[in-house]
Amino acid sequence: MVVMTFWTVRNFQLAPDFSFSNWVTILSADYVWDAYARSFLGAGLASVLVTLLAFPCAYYLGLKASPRVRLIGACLIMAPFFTSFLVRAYTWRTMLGDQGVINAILGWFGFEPVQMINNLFGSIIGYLTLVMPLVLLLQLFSLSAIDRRLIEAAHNLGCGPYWAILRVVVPAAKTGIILAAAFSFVLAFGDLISPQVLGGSNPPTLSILIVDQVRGGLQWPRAAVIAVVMVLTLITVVTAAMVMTYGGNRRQSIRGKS
Amino acid sequence: MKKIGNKNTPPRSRSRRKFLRQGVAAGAVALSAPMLIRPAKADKQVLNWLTYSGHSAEEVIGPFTEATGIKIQAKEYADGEKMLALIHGSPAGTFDLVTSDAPYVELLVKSNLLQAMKPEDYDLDSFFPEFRSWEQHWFDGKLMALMTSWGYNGLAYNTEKLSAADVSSYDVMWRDDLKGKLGMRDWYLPIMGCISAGMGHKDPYNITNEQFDALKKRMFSLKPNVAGFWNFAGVFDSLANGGAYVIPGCGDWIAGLLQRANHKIASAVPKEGAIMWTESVSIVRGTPRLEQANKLVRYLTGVEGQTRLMTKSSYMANGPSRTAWDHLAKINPREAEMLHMTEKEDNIMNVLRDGRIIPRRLPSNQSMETWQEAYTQFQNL
Repeated sequence: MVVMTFWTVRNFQLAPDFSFSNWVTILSADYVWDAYARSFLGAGLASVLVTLLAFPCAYYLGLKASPRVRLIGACLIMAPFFTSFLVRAYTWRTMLGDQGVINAILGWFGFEPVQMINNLFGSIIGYLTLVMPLVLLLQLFSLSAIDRRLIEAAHNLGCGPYWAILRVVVPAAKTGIILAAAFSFVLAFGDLISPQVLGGSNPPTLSILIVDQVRGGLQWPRAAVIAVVMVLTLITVVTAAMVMTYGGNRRQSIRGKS
Repeated sequence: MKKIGNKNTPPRSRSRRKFLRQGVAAGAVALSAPMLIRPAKADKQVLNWLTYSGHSAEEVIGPFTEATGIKIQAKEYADGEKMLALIHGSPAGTFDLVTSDAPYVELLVKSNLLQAMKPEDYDLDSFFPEFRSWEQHWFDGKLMALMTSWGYNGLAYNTEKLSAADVSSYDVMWRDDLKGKLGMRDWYLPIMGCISAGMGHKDPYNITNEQFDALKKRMFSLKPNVAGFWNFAGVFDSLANGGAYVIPGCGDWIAGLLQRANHKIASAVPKEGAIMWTESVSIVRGTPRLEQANKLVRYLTGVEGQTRLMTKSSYMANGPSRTAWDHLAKINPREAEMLHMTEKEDNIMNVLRDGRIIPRRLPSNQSMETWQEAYTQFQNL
């Protein structure tokens, strides 16, 4: 892919070359940087939201629920994987549209229709639909693995339920929580369906720009430049997540040894 | 340790060799799988056809296969540039026929990919006169393609929110009360063509750089009204469910489908003109199945094939055949009406003859990338 970024397109055909023109064209285009910021912030927002929204459910299933309820919960979490994401996105479209189910209910109470698709809100709903099952499962695994005696010890030492979650549960499940958030960032950052179907490509993200580069003039090399920029971003984000997860532990363990 | 291990392992090593041998054999079988499939491809009774979505469906080519025993192996695509990539990127002999938008026929001819067709092999007398000698199909006196479908890209609109008078000009798109209700397709070509036509350009894709800058400015000024940029499914859903009241770059091909589902959607050719889309079938040079390919061309341009192309469920279309026009009016007057294929004064052939449906050409003074980039900037505003 990196090699292709230096190729050129002649008569709708790729020609091996060593030209920096694709890099210059893409990196000097304002709309590319706007789309970059939009994709990054959208994926970041989705990761934060999904982490916060999934946690109470994963906490309940992992630590509070009976084994039977946990099993049923885990099966329900996995159920969305059996449907194509495209189908789920279009289902949201019909639910969130101007004449969709939600606006119809709002209408009964005399509210004006609220615009929920063809904007950032729609994209975020799409991202959450895409990543929620995976994040729930990862959080559930890491929370189930916590030694419950630690939580009981915290309670015995006078720690209230909320502080026990913040001071004991979250740090103990940190690895799973951060990895799940990193995964959701990776998936949302590269997702095409949410910003296209629910966000209405209005305005576009990097994944939509890749498609447009290929559709208009078959500019595979320029699409490759965008893809390389995206891969580099994801490597940076995942590395940062790894450092956050394991870097601290190593320091702790070194401190522990000394 | 290593030595002892070697001494003790001859049987294992032999079995590993056996395993490797078996693995290689299995790999060879796997790699030759395409060869095993190949006879189907080399079969004279199978035609490989590169064409638009929905053409290889049973509802379109079912009777052809039934009557001739020739099976169709189709590779379907959605926009012309993808077709060029596919045909250039595939080895010679991959396709026997190709269906493309008329402006792309010229590019295929320039690349020496097409075989000249003999006009006498087809029933051209059944065509409207203008389609017998369609300029974009003839090169140096040779027929290189035959039209199978055509239609227009003007305005599709919600008839409960807008009247036919409202959409008689592209100017309706700028109306303040349509804020957030103007839809866009995610494909630059039809949309920018409509806006260019709306500015009075008689040849909307052949404009000077100054005119192109003005086109960009005019297009950018539409942004406050834009609800979103959608693919086919998104356009369909938005028109059906009130997400948009008017969308340029659409015509009877989509409005007809919505009318079938009883939605109050119609399409219009504004007074500034709509952009024509066409589908033309050509025979790929060097095909060993010329006779079979000709049979398919005859079917597609004949009454049965034409009627089925006009009313297919993927998108509706007008056709070049006068005979099929009459046939459709007899067997399915409702759909003929949807396609404006009637004897009324405002029928689609009269609109075409009036010059209000403008044949599409490729952008000539600017590259396709420049047009696409302007559209991306518009989306990004």
